Amino acid sequence: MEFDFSEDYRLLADQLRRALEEAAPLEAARKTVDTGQINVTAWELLGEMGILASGISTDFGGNGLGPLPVCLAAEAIGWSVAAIPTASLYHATPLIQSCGSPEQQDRWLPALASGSATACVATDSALAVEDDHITGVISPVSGGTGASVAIVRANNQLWLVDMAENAVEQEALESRDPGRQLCRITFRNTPATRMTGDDADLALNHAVVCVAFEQIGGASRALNGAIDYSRERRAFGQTIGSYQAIKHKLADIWTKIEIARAHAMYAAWSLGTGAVDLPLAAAAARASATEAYLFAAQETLQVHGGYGFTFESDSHLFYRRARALAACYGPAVEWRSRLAARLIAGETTKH
Amino acid sequence: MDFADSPIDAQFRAQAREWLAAHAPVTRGRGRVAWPDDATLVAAAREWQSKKAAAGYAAIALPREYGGGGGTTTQQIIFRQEEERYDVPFGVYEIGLGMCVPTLLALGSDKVKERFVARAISGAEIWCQLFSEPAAGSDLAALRTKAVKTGENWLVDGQKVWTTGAQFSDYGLLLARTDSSATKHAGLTLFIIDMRAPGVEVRPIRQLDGGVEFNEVFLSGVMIPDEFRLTVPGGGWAGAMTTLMFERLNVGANIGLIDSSTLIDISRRLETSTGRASDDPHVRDIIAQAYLNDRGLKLLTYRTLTNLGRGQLPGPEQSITKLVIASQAQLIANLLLDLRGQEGALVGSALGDGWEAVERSWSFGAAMRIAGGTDEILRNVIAERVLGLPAAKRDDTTRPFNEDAA
Ligand SMILES: Cc1cc2nc3c(=O)[nH]c(=O)nc-3n(C[C@H](O)[C@H](O)[C@H](O)COP(=O)(O)OP(=O)(O)OC[C@H]3O[C@@H](n4cnc5c(N)ncnc54)[C@H](O)[C@@H]3O)c2cc1C
Repeated sequence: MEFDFSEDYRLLADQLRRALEEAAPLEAARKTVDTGQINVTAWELLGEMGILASGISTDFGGNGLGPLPVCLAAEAIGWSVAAIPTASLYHATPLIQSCGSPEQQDRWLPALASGSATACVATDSALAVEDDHITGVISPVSGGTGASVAIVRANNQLWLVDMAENAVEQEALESRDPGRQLCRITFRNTPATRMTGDDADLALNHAVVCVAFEQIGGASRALNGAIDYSRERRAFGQTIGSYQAIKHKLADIWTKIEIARAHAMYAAWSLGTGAVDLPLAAAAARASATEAYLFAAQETLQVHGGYGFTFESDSHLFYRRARALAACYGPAVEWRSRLAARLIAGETTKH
Repeated sequence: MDFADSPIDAQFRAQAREWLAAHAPVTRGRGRVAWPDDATLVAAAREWQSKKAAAGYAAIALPREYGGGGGTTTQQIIFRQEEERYDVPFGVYEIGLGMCVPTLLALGSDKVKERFVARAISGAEIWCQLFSEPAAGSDLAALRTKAVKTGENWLVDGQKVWTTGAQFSDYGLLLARTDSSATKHAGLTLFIIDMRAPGVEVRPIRQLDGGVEFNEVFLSGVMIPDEFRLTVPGGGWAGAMTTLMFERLNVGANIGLIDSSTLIDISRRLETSTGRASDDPHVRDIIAQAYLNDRGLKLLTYRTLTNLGRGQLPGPEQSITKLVIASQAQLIANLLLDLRGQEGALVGSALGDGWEAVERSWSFGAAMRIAGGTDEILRNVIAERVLGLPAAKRDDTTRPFNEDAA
């Protein structure tokens, strides 16, 4: 039994965390709330460390290492609350890799691998298509701002749109978490190319497993901060961490994180090996990590008292990001409902 | 990541499976049910234990020279996983083999080990644990049962409570106060007590569920020979902590409570006034949430097994298991009983197949949130020992016990 990442990957996880702590300190995340700017240094760093190339086959400029390095990077991104167009890495890249035509892959994957392009996905809105031209509005799109390419659904098929086309309009939306940019994209008879595969589920599962790791990274950092604070802050002659109301709260947060992490690790294994139980494992990871981060962000803010409500504290960074990540790819209650349907139908995991 | 057993463990599992298939009683169905009476339970348990002992499966991780299997903790867990598929009698030897015998091996003299360990493993002698007292549960070090040295013996007076299995046990681990003028934790000593010695009186306690698994034990003038002392006088607290540490090695042991699989099973078959229970969104949400916990804990067991394989012992983070499953069993049982409407107020046996296990979780779930460390104490353990939060300020540890108790 070896239910853990390999030693190499554990080392990589460490490196990623340290590198991102430096490239994307929490102070930078706080600034982002005002500026809404992507952290370009952190994005480039992921390129340099081979993370952007890892889900891409070597034929198209990738390093073919598969999803595990991306999962580890996602945890470090969550830990640093970095402002990064993750939808490109978590969702669009695997989608082009699995469903793109050879021409589309040739055109976009090398640029995605190097980080010179980013892509966004909005496959849940229905657009009109006529003669390979798309018309309609998608909103809100995560990571759409500045994306070079968009993957959309029209006529029950996936299409790829080059955002450099003139007939595309992008409008930034105000996001509760400016570190995760959202925008509205309007297509007016914009040329699009049809994608050849239509198995979008694999990429979606890839995305939610990555987000689960990001949620766990954020929840863990929030917990760590609250532990530190509760050992220093004093009230009624004692550190607040010696009071049980605080202790039990932190113990409950830890419990949720541990359980969510176990699910995420199994889902990563499932993703990495192409196991058939991926849908079940991914739904479990998504549902438990969402719950863990929402709870951790909310309750660690509480531990900080009035200071937790200030802009100066870190609490709001986690509070915002937890909300933003809960909103993408559908709420936890939907994932739990899907999970229950699979369980009631008798589905089980491999191990 | 690799979920396969190592080649040696795989071979062990295969052998264990084969042996169990040939020797274990046939499964009667899902969920453990209470035995009709102690005599039947003990007889069945004794028979099963001696079969296991003869095959080396009785105490797999304990040394061969005392009748153990000479294997690893991982193999012990593997055997337990396989054994749990059968409806074999659990609950008679767990305290003895899981906590008392490892304590004897860790602290006992050679003479003690030779006298007791092999007989406990073979099932010839049953053990219990006499720690808790009326005024000392969570705060175990507050115990008052006294042991006074008289010549070569110790004279014990006091009262223990919640002693599981005392009614059929031969020996017990006894924690007693040997020096009242020392501070609370410093005046304790750990002993072996002969449960049939004069002055030991076991009175059954009737439980919420009607069962009688635990007891009050009154000790009046009980003589314990000095050679039955397991720690130096005053060293009992550390000894007791050794015992409680072994409890953690009982990784992944099923405590007989229902989980999400029972909820799925029953709700799929259950018609309510508003339709099939498993179609109800509220029920479905609880199914998902319970599964997330059960499955998460199972995966955490995989992580513990991974750590064991690396030579690390399970630490205080093991508290997570009981903390999560006991209250969840209550929640699931209450939901299922709710779904039966007014019928849910009937006893389990009147509700049909599988419902006795539901009723047992309704009642025993409550007990499991208390036994072996309450939910609140487990949260303290996680906060202080895993997360490193400061201990609560207390003023009961520095004064002599007899001043504090006064
Ligand atoms: C089924 C069962 C079997 C048992 N078997 C045995 C056995 O074989 N041998 C044995 O020695 N004992 C046994 N026990 C006893 C068990 O260990 C104690 O019941 C347990 O430690 C709690 O102690 P208590 O009952 O005195 O409750 P108390 O300690 O009085 O607790 C009462 C309440 O106060 C809370 N509380 C206490 N201290 C704190 C604190 N510091 N912070 C927050 N809350 C606190 C508790 O969580 C609980 O909610 C058994 C108990 C049960 C239920």
